Amino acid sequence: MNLTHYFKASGHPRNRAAAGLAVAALLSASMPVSADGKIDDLQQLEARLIQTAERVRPAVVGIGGGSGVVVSEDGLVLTAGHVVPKAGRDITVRFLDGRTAKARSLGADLGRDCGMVRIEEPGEWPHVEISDAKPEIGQWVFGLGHPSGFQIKRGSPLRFGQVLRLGSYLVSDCAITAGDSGGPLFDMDGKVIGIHSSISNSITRNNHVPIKPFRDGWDRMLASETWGSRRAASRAVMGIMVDRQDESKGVRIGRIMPDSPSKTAGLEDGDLIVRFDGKNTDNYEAFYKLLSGKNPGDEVEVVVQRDGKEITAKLELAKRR
Amino acid sequence: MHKTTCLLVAFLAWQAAPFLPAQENPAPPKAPAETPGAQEPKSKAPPAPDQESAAPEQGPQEDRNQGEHSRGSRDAGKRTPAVLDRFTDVVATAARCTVRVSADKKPVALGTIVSTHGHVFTKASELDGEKKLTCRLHDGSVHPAKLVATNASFDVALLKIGAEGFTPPAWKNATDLPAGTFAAAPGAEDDVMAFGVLSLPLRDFSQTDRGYLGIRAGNGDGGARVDSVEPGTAASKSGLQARDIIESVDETKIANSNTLVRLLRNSKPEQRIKLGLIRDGEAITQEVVLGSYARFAGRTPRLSRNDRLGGPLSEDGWGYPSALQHDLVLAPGQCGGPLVTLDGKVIGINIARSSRIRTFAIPSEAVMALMTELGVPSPSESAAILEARKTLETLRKQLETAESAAHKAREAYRKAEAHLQELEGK
Repeated sequence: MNLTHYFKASGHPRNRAAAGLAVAALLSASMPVSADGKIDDLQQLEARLIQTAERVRPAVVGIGGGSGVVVSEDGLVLTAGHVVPKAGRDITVRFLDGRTAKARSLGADLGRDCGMVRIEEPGEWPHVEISDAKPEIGQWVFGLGHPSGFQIKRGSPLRFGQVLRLGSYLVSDCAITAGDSGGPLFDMDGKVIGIHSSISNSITRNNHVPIKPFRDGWDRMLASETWGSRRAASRAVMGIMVDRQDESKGVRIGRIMPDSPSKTAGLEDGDLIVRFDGKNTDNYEAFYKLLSGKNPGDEVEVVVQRDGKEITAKLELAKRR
Repeated sequence: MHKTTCLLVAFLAWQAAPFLPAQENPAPPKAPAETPGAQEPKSKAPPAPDQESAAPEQGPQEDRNQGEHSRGSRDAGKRTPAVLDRFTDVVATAARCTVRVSADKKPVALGTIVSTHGHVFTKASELDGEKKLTCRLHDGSVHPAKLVATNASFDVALLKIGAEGFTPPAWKNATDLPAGTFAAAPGAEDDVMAFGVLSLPLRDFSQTDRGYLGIRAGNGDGGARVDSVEPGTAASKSGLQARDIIESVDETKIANSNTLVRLLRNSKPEQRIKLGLIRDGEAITQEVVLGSYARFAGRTPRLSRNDRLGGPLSEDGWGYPSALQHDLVLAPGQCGGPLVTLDGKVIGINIARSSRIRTFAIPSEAVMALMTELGVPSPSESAAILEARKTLETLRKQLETAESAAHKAREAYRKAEAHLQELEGK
């Protein structure tokens, strides 16, 4: 490494490195090992991570501004639904060794954020296996992808963590960001157990699509069918836009939609929803959970705070348009 | 509204959780130009209100009655005590080199003791230059610290505390360490602040780096006309001004701004160049020491909104000539301390929390070079200094003893001489 030009010329040839090593050698006599051999476990885990990541990394591809992972030798690629929302498009898949391949988007389940791509060029493409085993909370996992876009000189940065939650998303603390979408989450055997999808403000909230929805929609996606929508999540609506940036305890109405149940009931922009259907709504998640359990036509009581006062309104929920 | 915002709003309008937008194609690499170009704006998309129907971060299927509920555990994760405690022994030695740096009693960063004599490296941009600096040591004692020197390329400051006898870190080269290498960071109190892995092998930009002047220029009358000077760069430090005409570089006449750019493209950081200028009709020669292109041209990181989620980022977080990228979650004020591998060796000094997914450390190789540059004695020099001090002390004692003996001898001689004179005088 030639760093000398970052520093003003000092003029003294100093045998720094050798001296440093000598001191280090003396100090390294004490290699930390705890009584129950914990360090050995860590060393084994580290070795496994290094080797497995190196083995699977070639299969992590760039697709447009996102990522994907090749799961068959003839070039079937799993990715996120939002990376390839339209089937039948010509796209280019990029490999870290510099190769590119012509490919075509297959179908997608946009509700679960699953997507598929097929490489059209013949070849033996680097690929990985999929794990159909049920993931476990606390399981070590690692993520690869192309955050901030595919950069061949940089490579694919490795992130290591554990499975934190299971559910419609597999949540881990492998930090992911824009550009990682569609990239793979691996178990320690190097099998894909998730596909990067979304994040939230918390550093430990990294959402990966589990394998099950891919398997459930496999044949439809292969047949280039695209279905589902993230909008379809809640059937009944109040007709409001929520200000997610507001940090008050409650749900802040950013805007009331015209001709909506909220408008009819007299709610106003800026109202803070504190109770919905008799239960506290301390945050958006709590509110959304309650709302999703309702049907169009249901009558609910909503309590909001406005100018220091609490106001109760009765709403008849509407159908999503 | 520029492109980044549109992309984000389009996604946010129907998705509550900050989604991972398929990144718009990354901007083509900036033409390495000192010539006019739109300054990359810091992406600060105003957040859009989300429709209540947008799926929350739990995901679209979360709350349907499909018999699958989200299960989680507060005890899982690499930031929990269960995981971090496993590294207590690993970081124990390095923890003794870790200090907390405070400015006017307010903690601002961590620091790493790098010599027996109390030299401390920390993150320069976290220090408030005017304030009184102190370092809290591993044993709890607090010492005043003097700011001795800084290096802008690595954003490193050298402090000196008035105490001796420290054991400097056991350094290990970072050059051949693969991605996945485990790493931990000790805090200032025997704790393990964070655990993670190297995300990439060491990246060394120094080989491909080039000199950076720091101006925007166009074609002028007989050379390149300086349109603006970027603050904090080589150009501003040397006093270049807007409307200066650069006629020559190191005696080579330049026809226009393109020639200037071409010449600079072949330069190196810290290279001295002589500019022939026309300023207000007068011919002047101005010597300039070029900065680092990697460091200063890349100053504005293109961070997406997603990159900024998950915790505060260091203000100075990009463009170091060589850096280890890892995924330890550190706050900006937790930078400046050592990065330790499983064998207890120190492979670098954490220098910045750069984005949601990356933290940078200066590799030990660069730390060694910085020690030379900023005048920190090496271990062998320290040993020589301590040896010389011991010798001096021994000789001082000998001198004291000898002087005391000489004094006694002189006394005895005078007495004898006086006695003889007495006898001869009779």
